[in-house]
Amino acid sequence: MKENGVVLKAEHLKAFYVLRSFGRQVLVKAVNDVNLEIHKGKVFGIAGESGCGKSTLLKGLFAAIVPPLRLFGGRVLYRIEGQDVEVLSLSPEAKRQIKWKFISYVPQGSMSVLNPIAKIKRTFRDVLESHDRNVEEALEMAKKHLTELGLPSKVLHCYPHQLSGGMRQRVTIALATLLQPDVILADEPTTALDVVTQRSVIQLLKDIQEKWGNTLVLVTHDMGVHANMADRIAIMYAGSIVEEATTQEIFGNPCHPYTRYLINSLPRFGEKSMRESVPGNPPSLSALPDGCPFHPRCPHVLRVCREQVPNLINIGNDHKVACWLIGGEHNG
Amino acid sequence: MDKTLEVKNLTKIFSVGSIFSRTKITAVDNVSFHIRPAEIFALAGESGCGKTTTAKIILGFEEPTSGEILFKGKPIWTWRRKPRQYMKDVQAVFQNPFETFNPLKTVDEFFYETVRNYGIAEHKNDVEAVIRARLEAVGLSFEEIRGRYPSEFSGGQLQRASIARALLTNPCLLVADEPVSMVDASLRMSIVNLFKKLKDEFGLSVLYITHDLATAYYVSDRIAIMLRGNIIEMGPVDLVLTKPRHPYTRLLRESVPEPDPQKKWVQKITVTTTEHEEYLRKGCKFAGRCPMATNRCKTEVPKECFLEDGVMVKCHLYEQEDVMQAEIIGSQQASKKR
Repeated sequence: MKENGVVLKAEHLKAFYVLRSFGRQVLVKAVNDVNLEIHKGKVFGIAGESGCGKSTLLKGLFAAIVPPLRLFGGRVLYRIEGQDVEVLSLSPEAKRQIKWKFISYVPQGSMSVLNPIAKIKRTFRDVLESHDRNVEEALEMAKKHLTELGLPSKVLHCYPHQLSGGMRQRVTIALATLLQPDVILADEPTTALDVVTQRSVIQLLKDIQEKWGNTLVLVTHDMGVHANMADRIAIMYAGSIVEEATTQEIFGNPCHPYTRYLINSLPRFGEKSMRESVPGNPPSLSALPDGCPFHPRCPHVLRVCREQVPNLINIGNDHKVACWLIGGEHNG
Repeated sequence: MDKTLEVKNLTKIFSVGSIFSRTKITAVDNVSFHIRPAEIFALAGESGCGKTTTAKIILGFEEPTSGEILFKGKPIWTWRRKPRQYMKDVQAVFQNPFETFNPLKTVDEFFYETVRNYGIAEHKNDVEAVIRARLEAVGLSFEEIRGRYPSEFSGGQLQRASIARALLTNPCLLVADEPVSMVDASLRMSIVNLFKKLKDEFGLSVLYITHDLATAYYVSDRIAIMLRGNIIEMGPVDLVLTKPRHPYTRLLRESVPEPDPQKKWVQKITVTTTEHEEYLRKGCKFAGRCPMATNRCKTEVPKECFLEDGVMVKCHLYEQEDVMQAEIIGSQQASKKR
């Protein structure tokens, strides 16, 4: 990685779940040969339906590959203090040192990430103490951080169940950004929240990102949230990235048939015409079809689609697509 | 009979806290609405606004503190004597299909059970024919569900199966409590389109409870917006969501992230401290967050105002207008008399 502002890079990342079923080994190919380059200070969105491997990809990026998930190849590079660090091969202690300080993670389902029998302040103290901050300083820091984010500091004295869902999610975000990390990985931070709370959570993430200029990797299936936040969007389908472009390009000129379905299926105000959702069901990641994984659901399927997997190619304007229909001559 | 379901002045009060510090929370506060045959009626609002409690009372899981529910013109208590008939006519679809179905039973067992419980078909062959027909209506085949456990389905598929099960009894009304919030955005439309289809083909009425205004706009005919137990705006969905009157409806409408990168949010919003506080608020429950709140809003509960185009709104801002209109009408009548 040169000095080109790339802060996070994944190269041919392959992470599969290894399961046993009836005495046979089954591989669930959740992240199948993913290449990503994420620039500093940008919001990078990852979209796709549930079960397409987006959360697993985020686990890989956070270097949290634990059984049954196993690494089958590839590297994840971070630019930390001017140095390229390959995080997947680090020792557990070294990983612990960079986590929360340089890379941090907002997990899915804030309901279950906070310790239900400890007050919020104890969770804050745990994070700070594990990064060599002393105890007296810690509480002050937590308070200062919360006020900076516009959250009431009295939440420190509450138990998680005393807070509303939206407040808990915002506390989780505050916790993840406590040490002002360079990269924030957020996994479905607004799913299961209602619209107003969702807006407040997004507002908070935006504020943090503007204030400290961190890089944000945002995973969600809600294209509306992506339109509002992301600078660049990658569309994931069955463990691989099928399209990647700037937000304007994705919404203005979607090329992959799957992306087109995703965007055209969204209901819009002032328009009541019939909206079609993606036909069929997502494929099982343990038994992917041959060729392009989308071909059984694709309306424009060709013979080559059934036989060979298309590569992610640049079609100009910094727009990458993996589809035989587009730029077939460059492919293969 | 032009009303499948009518809810009149429904109130539900919950007591919370210990014996010494007991506070009463009015989860549903004097709510009235009706659903016509073959109509999709949306009940929308933030989480904790009382929409699920309303659904629970309609389904008979909770007793109302006061108020009345009429189903097919008869009060709900007369139906209590023949609960099976009522349950047959009013079926429910819940939020999370994975919690709806027992994970240890195969999905087809629930279908057989429903057929047996309601005595829908006698012969074994008929039973399967009925199940097949209903599954076909939701776009599934019997082979897809036979002998499979809930964990083997995707969320969208299982939710459709759950709707097919509800349809077995030929209901008049489907109470759907957040049926799409656990389903992916890309599969949401398949569920929502299904409601449209069922309405057109079977004349089914649907009470569609949701916080997703975009799908509510797409699918429903009329909508009621709920805020902390009160319906604050109600009317045809085109009017309420494209021309929102109540400041809260405007906030909700603006907070829906539009799938258009040109339309990003610029304005910041104030957030509630706790739900509890808003419930205990005197006057308009929205006064704490409303940009147009006056002193009157903080002390006095707004009355229902019926505007000319058939929209009901509960806000002091429109009471003024109402007064003006009333005055105009009054003066017209007076001039006629002269």
